[in-house]
Amino acid sequence: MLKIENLVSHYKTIEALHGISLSVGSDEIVALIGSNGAGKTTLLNSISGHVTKSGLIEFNGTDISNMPAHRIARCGLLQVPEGRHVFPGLIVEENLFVGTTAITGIRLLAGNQKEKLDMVFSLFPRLEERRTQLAWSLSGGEQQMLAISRALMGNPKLLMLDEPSMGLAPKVIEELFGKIVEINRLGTPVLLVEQNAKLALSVSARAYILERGNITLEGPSEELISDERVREAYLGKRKSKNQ
Amino acid sequence: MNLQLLFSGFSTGIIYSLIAMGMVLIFRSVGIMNFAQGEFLMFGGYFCYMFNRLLDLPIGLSLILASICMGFVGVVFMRTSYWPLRHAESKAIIVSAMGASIALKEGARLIWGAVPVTVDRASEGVVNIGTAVIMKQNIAIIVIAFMVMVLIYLLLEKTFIGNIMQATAQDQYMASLTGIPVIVSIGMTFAISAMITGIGGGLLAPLFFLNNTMGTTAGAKAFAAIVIGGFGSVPGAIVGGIIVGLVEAFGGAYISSTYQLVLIYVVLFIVLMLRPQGLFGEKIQEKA
Repeated sequence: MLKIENLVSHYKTIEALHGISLSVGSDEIVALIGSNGAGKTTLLNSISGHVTKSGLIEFNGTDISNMPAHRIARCGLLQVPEGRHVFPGLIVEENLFVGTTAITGIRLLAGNQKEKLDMVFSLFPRLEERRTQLAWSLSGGEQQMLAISRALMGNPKLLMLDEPSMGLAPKVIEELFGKIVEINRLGTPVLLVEQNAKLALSVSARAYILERGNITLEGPSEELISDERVREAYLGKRKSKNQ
Repeated sequence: MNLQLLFSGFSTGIIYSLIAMGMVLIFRSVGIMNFAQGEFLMFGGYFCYMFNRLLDLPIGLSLILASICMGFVGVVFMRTSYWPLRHAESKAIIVSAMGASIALKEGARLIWGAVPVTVDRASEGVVNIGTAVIMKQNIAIIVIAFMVMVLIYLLLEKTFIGNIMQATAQDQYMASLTGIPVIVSIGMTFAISAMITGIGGGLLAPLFFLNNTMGTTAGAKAFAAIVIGGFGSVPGAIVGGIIVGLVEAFGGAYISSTYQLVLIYVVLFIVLMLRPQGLFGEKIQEKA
């Protein structure tokens, strides 16, 4: 589905990713784990066309490494960015309509989207209650649901989620990750970027560990969860905690 | 209350509203005050003159054609003066807009000459209400401008394409992630902005002669209208424009016609002292 080979990304003259290779299959959840500043978001932004880069990025057999961001989205590769980025001044429903641009492009009227709306509302009933509310007035969890739903409105062939758990209460996170698994079960592969390694490993089939712009470890999530290095660095095994 | 002054003030005011509204649309879209907006008014007026007087088309059709031409001018303006500098500091873009305003002014002089010209009235004659004599053109201006505003409101708030433009204005990065070509979306916003302001030029031309420098003063008044109404607010721009027009008309008649522009700024100062965020402005920006 998604295949990346030897990806090198730059911010102006600073190299942020030093040759990443990664793949996502057609029905799996793949987790990308790393600490702050490891380059997780840079990697997603490179894939979606927002960072200058070199190397091969192939999606469904098409080379997308030189495509502009909006064309990549039109291919069905949809990213839900860190910090949710709902359109604050549009109501929930309009946010969802805008998501359909990925399928149809710009047009005068939204047309009948009832089927799609029903699909996301059955997944996130809370959004239906908030249907006519401006997006900025939603809670953090609701905004995350909206951001994911907006991407679902665009029929994603691959969904890239960047830190969906950020800033949310544990209970909300649990609910949200249940939905992510459900979305995957309905047939959408997911590339999940998370700082919360335990959570990410528990829902994913495979995982990559990203450290300072390099992939240092990869494998099935079950194996990684018991890996000594992973436990020490990401799963909070108490060893060198001084505070 | 002098009805005659009320109508003439209101009708010039609503034209300032059209300029101010155009500026606000661009401001909300890209965060830049377009100091060439007044030139859109002048250019729209000249296009109208070209269709109406040089090609002898009826005024209604001329207004529509002029507006369409202004749509293209808006796109070209965006592509040349804004887009290459979109990642630069806003100062650079403001200077580039000022440069574009000089180019538009001198361009108009090259194309249409320096002699002031005029166009037909949208509606001839006068209406008598009591002792007041009101030009039908003033009424036509108010009606047409109001129709334009309603159309723009419907387009931006009730259509998908309007949602797309708003979404792009609110978050360009996210817009491109949902598959919106940002350059197209911003281009449409500039086109609409130039179109509504351009119509104002065609409406104003029968009252004041067209010349290639008229845009600068009109633009300055529209800017005052935006500040009075509240930065970034469309209703604010509309109400601010009308206030400026009324102050100009009544101040000119009762106080001093030489100090019309000064009076506008006096009102501006008073509003800023009492309500620094403007009449419709919000103290705190939207939570993002």
